[in-house]
Amino acid sequence: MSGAARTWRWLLAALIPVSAIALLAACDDDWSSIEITNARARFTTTDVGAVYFDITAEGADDRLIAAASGIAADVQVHEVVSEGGGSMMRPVADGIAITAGGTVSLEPGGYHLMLLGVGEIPVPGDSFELTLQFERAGRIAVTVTVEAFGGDDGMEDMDHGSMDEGE
Amino acid sequence: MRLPLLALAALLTAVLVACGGGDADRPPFEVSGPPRAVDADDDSDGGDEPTSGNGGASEVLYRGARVMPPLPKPDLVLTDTSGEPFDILAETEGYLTLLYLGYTHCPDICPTHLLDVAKTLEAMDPAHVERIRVVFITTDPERDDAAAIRRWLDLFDERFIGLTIDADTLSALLTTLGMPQIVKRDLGDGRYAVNHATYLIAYTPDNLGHIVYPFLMGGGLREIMAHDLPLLAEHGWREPS
Repeated sequence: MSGAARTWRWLLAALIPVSAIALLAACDDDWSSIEITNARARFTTTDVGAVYFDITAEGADDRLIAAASGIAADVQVHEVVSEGGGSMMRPVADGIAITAGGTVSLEPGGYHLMLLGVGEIPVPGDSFELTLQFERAGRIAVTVTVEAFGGDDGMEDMDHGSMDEGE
Repeated sequence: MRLPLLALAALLTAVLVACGGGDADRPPFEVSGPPRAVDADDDSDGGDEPTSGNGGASEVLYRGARVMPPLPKPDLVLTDTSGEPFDILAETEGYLTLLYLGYTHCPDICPTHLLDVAKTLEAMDPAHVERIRVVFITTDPERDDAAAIRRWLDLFDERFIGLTIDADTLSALLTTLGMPQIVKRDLGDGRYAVNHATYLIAYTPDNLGHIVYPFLMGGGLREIMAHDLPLLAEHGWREPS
């Protein structure tokens, strides 16, 4: 009896890696794992905001196609493009493509999410939830931190506030 | 005469070259060759044609984009954020005047651009900053009243001057400055973005805008302005030799 059990264990041990490989091979085409890092938002004094983060895709190519958040009436994927010697913001028609193994950064002056119709403007240090919709990876929930205005370069934000106070 | 914008488009390449090797991982545009002077040649559509050979890479006096012919300073009396008339020529006489046109519902470009200006001034010698006036004119007269503009500008610097303008005057001003007319982009539900020219004009005390600072995707603008603004504040406009 114990001999039979041992045989089964051996079989299982041998089969698991094999089946795992088979599984991976079977969904090689559409398996995608998305990692979102450095998610932060910037608000000014109006009911719009910008959200930036880094997207890393593992597995297959993927595409960020939409986003939503409870704090805004609408969230749109935008890009800044160069046109006629100037720069221009426009909605991204086909979403943002991420190559497998690659990283795409949303950052000031480039890709960003625009929040529209923000009910209550968050203050620096606040955080809020954002849902990203990817073509393959599906929905991903992200917590976004509101960064101090002007603190994007990581220096002088404390000086900035106190100096302005005096004027 | 072609719009200054065309010259600007050509110049943008030179500026980007000048600031190449900055902190951006990817260059915002593909650029090649050393920075060079570009003259007022009407045929600037080609964009990349090198002009007179005076531009050795080491002889660039200013790193902003040269505009030829220079832009006129607006001869307008608008209204500032305290509700007072603001005669642009009279109020900015003798100052290095940095003019920016934008709008407060701008999520990305305008705040990034004006923050670059604010941070550059913050790091400069106060004696130079005293000779500078930053003037903001809204491109969104419909939504931007005096209070909205003041609140927004105070995020950057309380000294920034904000001006309201009516739609017709704005349209005429854009023509004077060689900027394209604004384009409202519908974002749904009655919301809209305002596409507008995205460069800061530096008017020296000769009341001309010889140099502009276009928004740079990928950054680098602070470094460029930190190079130029003290020179312009100290000496006014000097023709690069």
